[in-house]
Amino acid sequence: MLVRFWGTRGSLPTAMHSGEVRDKLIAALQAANGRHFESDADIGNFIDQELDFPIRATYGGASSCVELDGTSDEYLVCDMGSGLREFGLDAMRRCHEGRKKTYNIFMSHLHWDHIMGFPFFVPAFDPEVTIRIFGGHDTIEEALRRQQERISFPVPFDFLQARFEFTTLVPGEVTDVAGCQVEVIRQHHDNDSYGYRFSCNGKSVVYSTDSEHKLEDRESMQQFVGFFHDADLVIMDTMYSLADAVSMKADWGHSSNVVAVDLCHQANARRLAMFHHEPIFDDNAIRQMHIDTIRYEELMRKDSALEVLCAYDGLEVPL
Amino acid sequence: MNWTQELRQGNVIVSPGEPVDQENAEDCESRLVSSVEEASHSGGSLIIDFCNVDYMSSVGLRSLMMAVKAAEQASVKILVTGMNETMQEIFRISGFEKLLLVHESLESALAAASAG
Repeated sequence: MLVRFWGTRGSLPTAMHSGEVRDKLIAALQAANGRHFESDADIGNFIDQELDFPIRATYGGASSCVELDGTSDEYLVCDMGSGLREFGLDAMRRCHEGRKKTYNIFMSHLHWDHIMGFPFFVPAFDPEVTIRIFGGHDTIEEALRRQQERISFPVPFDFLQARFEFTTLVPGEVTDVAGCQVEVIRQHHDNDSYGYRFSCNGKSVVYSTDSEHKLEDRESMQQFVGFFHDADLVIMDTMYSLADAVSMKADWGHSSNVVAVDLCHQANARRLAMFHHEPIFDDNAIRQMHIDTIRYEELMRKDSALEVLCAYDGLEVPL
Repeated sequence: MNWTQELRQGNVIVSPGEPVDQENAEDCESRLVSSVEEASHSGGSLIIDFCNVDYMSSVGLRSLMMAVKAAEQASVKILVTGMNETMQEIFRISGFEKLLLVHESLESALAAASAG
C-alpha cells in the first residue's frame, strides 16, 4: 500500500509568495557557495542531499486530500479538499492506463476546506465513473449540491455525469470497501468530524483530522488510544502548539503535535504523519514544528520509537 | 501524588514530587488550583518548583493551564522554577514558556514575586 498526500494544509489553501521563493533561491545559492556542477544530475544530488527541506521544497498549500493506493483496483481517498483536483487529473491518467473507474471517498466532515476540491474533480463529469462517498454525516449530498448552486459555482451538481452513491457510516460498525476494513470514530469538532481506520492487507492507517482532544476527558482519550492501537501510520491534525490548543484556540476543533505524540505513544503506533498544517505557517515554521515534534517524541519515548513524518503535498509513504 | 507546599513571604511555593502524567494529572490540577486560591488569600504569588519533576506529558501541561486560568480569575501571578533541561525543552516545544514566567532559581522567582 502507498499513502499519497495530495493536500495537507489546514483550513485554507495557501500559496507561496514570490518573496519566499526568492529567499529559498538565496539560501540555495549560499549553500552552493560558488560550486561548479558538471551536470543536471549533480545539481539534483546537491539539492536532494545537501539542502534542508524548506530550502529545496515546500510543504505545499492544497487543503486535505489523501489517497490510499494499492488496496484494490478501486480508488480510496480521504476528503475532498483542494488537493482533490490534482488527484482527479492523475487518477484519470491511471484510468486511461486501465485502472477501474470507481472512487471511494471518505469524508472527515463537510467544512469548506474539506469539500472545496469537488467542483474541480474532473472524473465526476465522466458517465463511466462511479463515485461512492462515505461519511458519518447524513448531509454529504446536501453539502456538495449546495456548494454548486448558482450563487457559488457555475456548474450545477445535476450536470455531473458520474454515478453517485452516498453512504452514512455508524461509529463502531466495520465496513468493507476497496479491499479494506474501515472503522469509524466520532471526533470533537464543530458539527462533529469522523476519523477512519483502514485495515488492508495486514497494514493499518488511521486518518484523524479536525479533531480536538479534551485532555481532561480520559474516557475519550482512551477511545482514541484504542482506535490508534498498533497502527502502521496515524495521519493526525497537528495544527497548533499545545499551549494554543488549550488556551486561546480551545474549542476551535483542532489538535497539537504534543497530543499527537502522546496518543501515538500510548497506542504503540509506528508512524505519525503531521497533517492539516496551520495556513499562517511558512515552510520554515512547519519545519521547526517537525523538528520540535521529533525531539518531543525522543524526550517522551518509553518503549519503541515512533517515527514522526511531516506530511507535504506530494509525499508518498509506502507501507 | 507526592507534593510539598510552604508559605514564604506571603507567596505559596509548591513542589510536585514526581512526573505528572495520566495517573496523577487530575490530582495535580486540583492541588494547583487550591494553591492559587491560597496565594490569593495571602495576597502573594504562586511559585511552582519543578525540581523533582523529570518530565511532563500533555495531560500534565493541561493541568498547569487550568492553574493559569484560575490565577487569571484570581489576579494571582504564577512563576515556575527548578526545571531540568527536559522540562525546559517540553515547555519550549509545547509553547508553555510563553504562558508562564520561568525563573532559573527559587530565589529569583521569590524576588520577582516580592517585587510584584
